[in-house]
Amino acid sequence: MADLIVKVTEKCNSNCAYCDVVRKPRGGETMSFAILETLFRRINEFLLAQPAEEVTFIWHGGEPLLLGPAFLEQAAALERTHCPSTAFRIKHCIQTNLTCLTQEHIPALRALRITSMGTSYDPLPNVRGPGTTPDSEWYRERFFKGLSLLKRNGFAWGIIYVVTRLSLARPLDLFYYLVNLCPGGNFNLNPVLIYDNERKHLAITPREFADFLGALFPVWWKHQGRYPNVQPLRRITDNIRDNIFNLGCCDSGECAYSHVNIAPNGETSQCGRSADWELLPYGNIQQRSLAEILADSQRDELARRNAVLRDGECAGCRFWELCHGGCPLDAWSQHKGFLHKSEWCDSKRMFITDYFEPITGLRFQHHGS
Amino acid sequence: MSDHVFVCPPREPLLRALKDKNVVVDAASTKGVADAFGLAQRCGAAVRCVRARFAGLLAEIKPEAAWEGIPLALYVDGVGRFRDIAPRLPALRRLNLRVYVQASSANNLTGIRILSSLGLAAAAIIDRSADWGGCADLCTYALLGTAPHAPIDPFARLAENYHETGINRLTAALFEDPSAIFHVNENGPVARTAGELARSEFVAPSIERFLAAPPEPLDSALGLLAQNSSCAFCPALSVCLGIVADPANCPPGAKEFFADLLDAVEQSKDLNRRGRRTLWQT
Amino acid sequence: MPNVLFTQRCVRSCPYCFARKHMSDSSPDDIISWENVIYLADFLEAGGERVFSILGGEPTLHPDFVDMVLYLIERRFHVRVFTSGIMSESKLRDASAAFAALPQEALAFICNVNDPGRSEQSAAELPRVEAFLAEFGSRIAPGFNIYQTDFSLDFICHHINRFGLKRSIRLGLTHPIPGQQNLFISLKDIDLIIKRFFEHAPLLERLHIRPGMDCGFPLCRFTNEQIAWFMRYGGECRFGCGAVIDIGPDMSVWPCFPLSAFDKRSIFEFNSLAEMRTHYDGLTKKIRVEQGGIYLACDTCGLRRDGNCAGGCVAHALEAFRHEPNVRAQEVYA
Repeated sequence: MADLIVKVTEKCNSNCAYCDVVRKPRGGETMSFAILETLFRRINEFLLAQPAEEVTFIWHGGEPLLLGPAFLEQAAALERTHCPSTAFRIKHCIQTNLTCLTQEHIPALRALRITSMGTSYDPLPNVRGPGTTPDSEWYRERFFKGLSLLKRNGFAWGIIYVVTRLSLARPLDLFYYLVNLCPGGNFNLNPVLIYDNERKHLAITPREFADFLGALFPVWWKHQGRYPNVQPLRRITDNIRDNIFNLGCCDSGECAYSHVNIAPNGETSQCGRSADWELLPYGNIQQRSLAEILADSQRDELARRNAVLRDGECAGCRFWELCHGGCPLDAWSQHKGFLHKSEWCDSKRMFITDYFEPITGLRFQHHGS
Repeated sequence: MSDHVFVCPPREPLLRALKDKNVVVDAASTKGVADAFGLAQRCGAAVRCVRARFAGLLAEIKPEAAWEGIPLALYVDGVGRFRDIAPRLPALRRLNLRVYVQASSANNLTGIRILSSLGLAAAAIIDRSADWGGCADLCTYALLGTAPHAPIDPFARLAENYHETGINRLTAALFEDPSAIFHVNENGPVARTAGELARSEFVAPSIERFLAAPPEPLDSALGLLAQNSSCAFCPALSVCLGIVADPANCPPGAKEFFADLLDAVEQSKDLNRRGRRTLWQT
Repeated sequence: MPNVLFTQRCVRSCPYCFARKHMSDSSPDDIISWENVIYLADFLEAGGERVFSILGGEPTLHPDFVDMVLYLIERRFHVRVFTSGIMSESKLRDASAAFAALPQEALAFICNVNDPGRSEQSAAELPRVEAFLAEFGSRIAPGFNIYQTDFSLDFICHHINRFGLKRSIRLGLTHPIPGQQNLFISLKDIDLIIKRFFEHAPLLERLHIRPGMDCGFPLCRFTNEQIAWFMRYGGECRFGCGAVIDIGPDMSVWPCFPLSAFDKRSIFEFNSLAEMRTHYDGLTKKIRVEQGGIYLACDTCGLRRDGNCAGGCVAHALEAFRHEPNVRAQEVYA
């Protein structure tokens, strides 16, 4: 499965406090139809050559819905034209802030077979919203209007909640807010990643993230039936209790040959951060095929990372199978090299040893992968 | 037939407009129960029950033979002394009856428990004025009491329809559900709740217009979340849905009650799932 | 069958009161709630118990006494009320009106009466007792607690005849309450008590009144002729001693009143009546292992070994343990 993170635009109608995209020095570009058309041709070419393969097309940005329904309709038309026999192996997803979702978008989204939307929200003031100081009232009004529309039209949704320093004082409040927002608990708790001093007041440490999860865990553990899909708690429980190793890209150690970030101008890289930091440039989709991009030799270092860490920094770690040294881009942000473990590994370890294992009585047994 | 339920006065033009629809006939007083039921049936409505209010205690009611066979939701001010109810029990047991009593006093909650223990279905009307501690005790009895007893709403209905990851509106068993139960004015306009009916806040000017273009379901939870009120951060939101109506001033004991209620419902379902016991129902 | 205390307050101060220790440790305002009555009805019903015994203090003092009794009868219990019979006129009227139509077997009273000739207080209470006896005559079985060797049963026989009470007398032997000063019959006086009782035998025979001995009498102190007399005249003579189980208004439970301070627990610690009985029977057995009965000879007694006699009231053993060095199994100390 190839995961294509397609940054169709870097424009956004919000200025969320922790977002890097809106702070890019050269930003605000939008993908042209020519590049979009090329992308669909490259996808079709790839899928025809790989009959067993599938592609996940993640509409990303900026805010992809800013492009308007017509853009999406055109994209669907391009797909119909250029992927007549392979479209059924293209799975479209979208990451949107929902604030500009309109009823007019719905047919286009359906044309792309999008049934679920990923979004992000924070009920705390001045975290998400436009303006120098994010206008959370503006954001809230439009977010809920969009969410209401999404629900009325029968779409599913999941939420990413970014845990900042502002969140640390109210872990359970925020947990209950999010489960109220997403019945079933379809949300991901991710730590904020801050790389500049200007926003250091939002940054949290791995210890703090572990403690944040730990504050929620007793409630979640007791009521898993009510809140089944709170990540990463669900995933860690599946891993440890049920030996189900459905690890995300940050923990699987398997992102080397599967992920591609495609910027509005067609330049490709490993993922959003590698593109922002001008790392791992795999060339432009206009010049290179998807197969070539996925097989780029720069990826070998990411693949090699597993062996290096397992025998090096992560040697003997009880939790190797659960995190594989974490995300290579996190490692790079700290060490300026990929062949190191991420500091967020510590967060996972601390959560498991200080909270998960004592509370559940379960102990993760290393399986020797 | 849609799932909408209409709480409607016993007026023929209204009931005719609700032919084949689910109807709760609001007979207002006990005097009109049989007539209201008969009228609704003749008009072709699918009568879920007749609702009637008695301004007094259950012990003061003289059940009528004509009520037998009529599904009856009887609202009373209280249950009364047991010595006064006891002679009425045989007649009450012959009825298809659920007794509704305000959950605002310990006496009333005790009365509900007594009725249930004797095989009579009862319901606690829970609103902001509820005795929350007493309600918590009652829900534990209703859902986890091992001795056979008649169901106590809204707990029994909540447990029966409980969706672990979804919305479980407590007041649905009390004829209040803005997405599913609608209240019809004497003259025809339709409102989402009894409160909105009283304030003449209608969603449709007539039953016909309602049926032609039913309103969108109301997402109460989303509404409360959008306000960013303290309710939005409350673990009980998916059950309470603003029942206490003033988020700035949540009554003491309410949150604890809802927490106990959800735990009792889940424990009850777990016990039933494991086949450890069954409850008989009237 | 377990006894349920509706109240902790009493209207008398009997010198032998075996509930005194329990009352002194409890709040007089403590009365049973409806919720607890319903719980106990469920609990006992689940345990296969069809008799609901109500005790106190004075149970009729409970403001909802009449309604609770009617409720229990509606739940198909046979209700037995242990009462002094002393109640206000209004309560008596209420009870009379409410209970008049009840089947005989649904409700019975055991009225423990004191000899009015023995104390001024007993004399002062007499009119109210008599009003109660007159009202409920045929439902009432009189009871008498023996705490003096020169007791008389004449006044009870008189009550039975005058008010049409059940023709039986429940005779209780007062026992020590460990750790408490109460009047009780000492071991050396048991023979006197038995002798005194049988002085009433001709009267009881003539009036067709059946005596019933409550728990704690030792079998060995009766002659074969005396046992035969009980059999002939329909009396009940049991020589047992076991946990009756008393349940307080606050849902505390204990084996019986003399042992009210001994291993008092909460009913909620038990899943069933059987479990509770097993627990307290086990405790009684542990005490009997330490001391077989009220006499030294009980340890080797064949009657006790064959189960015909329990060895008298276990309260005597517990009281004895208090006055000796702490050498026994810890569970047997109150």
